[in-house]
Amino acid sequence: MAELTDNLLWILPIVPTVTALVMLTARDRRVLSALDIGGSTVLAFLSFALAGAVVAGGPRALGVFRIDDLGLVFLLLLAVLTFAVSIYTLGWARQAVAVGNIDAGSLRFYFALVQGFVATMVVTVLADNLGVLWIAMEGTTITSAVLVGFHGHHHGLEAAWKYIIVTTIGISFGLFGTVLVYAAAAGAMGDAGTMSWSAIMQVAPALDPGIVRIGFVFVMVGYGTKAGLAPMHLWLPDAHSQAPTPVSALLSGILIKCALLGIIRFQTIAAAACGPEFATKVLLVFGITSVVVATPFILAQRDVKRLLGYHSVEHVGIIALGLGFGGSVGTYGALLHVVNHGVTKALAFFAAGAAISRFDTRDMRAIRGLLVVAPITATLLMLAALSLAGVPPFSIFVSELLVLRAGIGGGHWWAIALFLTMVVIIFAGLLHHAGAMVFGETTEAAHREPEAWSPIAAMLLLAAIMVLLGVTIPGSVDALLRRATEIVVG
Amino acid sequence: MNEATVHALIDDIGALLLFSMILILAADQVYRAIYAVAAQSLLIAVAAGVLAMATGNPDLWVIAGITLVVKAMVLPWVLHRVVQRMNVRREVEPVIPVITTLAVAVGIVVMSFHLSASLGAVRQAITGNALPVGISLILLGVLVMASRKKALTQMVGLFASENGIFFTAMAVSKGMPLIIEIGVILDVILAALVMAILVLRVRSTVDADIADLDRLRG
Repeated sequence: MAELTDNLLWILPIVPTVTALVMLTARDRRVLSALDIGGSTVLAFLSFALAGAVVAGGPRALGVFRIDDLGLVFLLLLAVLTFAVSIYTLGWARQAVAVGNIDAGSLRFYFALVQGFVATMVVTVLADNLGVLWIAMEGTTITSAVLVGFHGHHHGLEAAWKYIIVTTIGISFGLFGTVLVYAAAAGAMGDAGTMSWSAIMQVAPALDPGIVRIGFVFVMVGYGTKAGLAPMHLWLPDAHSQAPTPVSALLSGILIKCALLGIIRFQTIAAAACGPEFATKVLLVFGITSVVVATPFILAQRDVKRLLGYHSVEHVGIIALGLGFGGSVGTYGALLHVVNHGVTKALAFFAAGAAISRFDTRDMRAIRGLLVVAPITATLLMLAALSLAGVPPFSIFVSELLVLRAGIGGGHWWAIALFLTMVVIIFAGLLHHAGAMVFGETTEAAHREPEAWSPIAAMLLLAAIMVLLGVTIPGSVDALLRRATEIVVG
Repeated sequence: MNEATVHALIDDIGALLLFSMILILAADQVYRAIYAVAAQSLLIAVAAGVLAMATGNPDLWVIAGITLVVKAMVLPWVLHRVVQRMNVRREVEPVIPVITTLAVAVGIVVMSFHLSASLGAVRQAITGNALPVGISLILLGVLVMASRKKALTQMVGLFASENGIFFTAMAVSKGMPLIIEIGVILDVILAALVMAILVLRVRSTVDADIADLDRLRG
């Protein structure tokens, strides 16, 4: 039985890869969607099977792959969101082909690229070898850059270029940081250096603090670029706004979280090698910068998907703050926020995408009275906006509160003051934007056809998780997060 | 080869790498920058050969071969083809004057050496001056990308940065595991291909350099 579950570690990335290859042979939209949903269902099923094995028997390792409770948090988020995206894509693709947004002939490349993108993200979550982590992270850039520019108009291509050039140069900093940590490990272990995270962790206290410090800064800049931390976030609003909506949800919901997992892996090494203060300082600087930089852009935004993009910058900043404040409370809050933000932001992108297709514009000044045109979508959009703004009883309120408490406990008054100010400003800005879109007089130009069931189903699934995690955190989720926190805090 | 000779050779190659970086920074034509980055990759391949002989690690020979073929020949050839296909003005358009760029570059190199001089024992894990040279190349590559407006020059800067990482990585004890290095090079090739496709697609649709597009703001 143990061997069977170990094998899941290499089967998991294979599932989306095979799905992608099979898709290349299909042409019909319905067949492609069926394959998409099928592949995602299998992925989700196997992920939960692996989760069960890890909960029962502790971390599993196989070659360069390893899964522990920390990786599990991200893997399950990935599996659930990928499943929701597949359901959403069913209705989205029908509509996109109908209005000519996507050429029916190139649809199979779109579907295959999405599954390929998912495969690379699965590898980043499962990677134990830091080199493999990096290779997979660059792989996510290559697959998703093509998706960002998939519409082929020059805005999309501009966003794709900015995305691939900024994240590739950024992530090369990450590789250099990885090399430095590897050099430190080689120095500490004698000749036989290793790139395995679990092996490096065992010798981490003996690593040379000087080189680990430089390495961690390079890693922070590198993986921070991919995570969308300011000031390396320049690609993020463009890519999130220009990408097809399901891809926006994947980028914001999972991809930037995978990069955060990379940062957490190196944070644990850095904390063990040179004490927690250094990593804390670096994380707080990037976290505060992200929250502060995102605020004015959120207030002045007119493009709804750009708004959500900048909002991701803010929330990644909050997660970095949680990790920086540290301790059990801060780390638990940050990990919970990873889940909450992933689910909520995917929901927000889904609802925004549906609103955009009804009004044929991303300009929020032209989207009015969504409640009249599409009541269910409008309600869900409002719920997502309320949650993103941090209103109780939604889930993000809980995790933001935990992060705040950790900050107060640690006595980081400046960070707390800035954080609170920005969150209040963003609260007002976001609710103003969302309220104007949902309520008010609708325009003549709006499409009034009934709402398609599949996007609604995907959104309801995510909304249910969002509300559930806000009202009460189920015991199994809580236990998982607690064990993951222990791995980070040590 | 004894250790002192290896150190001396790696330091010599490091000096030549920095020189090639200055050629890239000062290049007034896209072609020259491409030739300079090809020469730089050739030096990386030579460095891998030297370290292979010194450590007796056969993996480094493989890396030397791959670097020679992929980074010194194929990628420059791809860039060359793209320049020809684009049929644009070949002059590099600096955002800031070349002389200022070079002054900043000197500062970066000095800072890199200063930074790694502050490290103690761990420097023994990395041969010679490979660490400061690597840091310099990475940061100078970013400088190239930031100070040039043309897509092709930005790609050259990216490759130069990656050369810096490879140089440091192969100088770490016995080099990184072969499979990781191959994976990294594969990623570089794929990224370069996607970039080349993007550049050519924009050229064919809106007749502009993709790095010049700036409609997405705010």
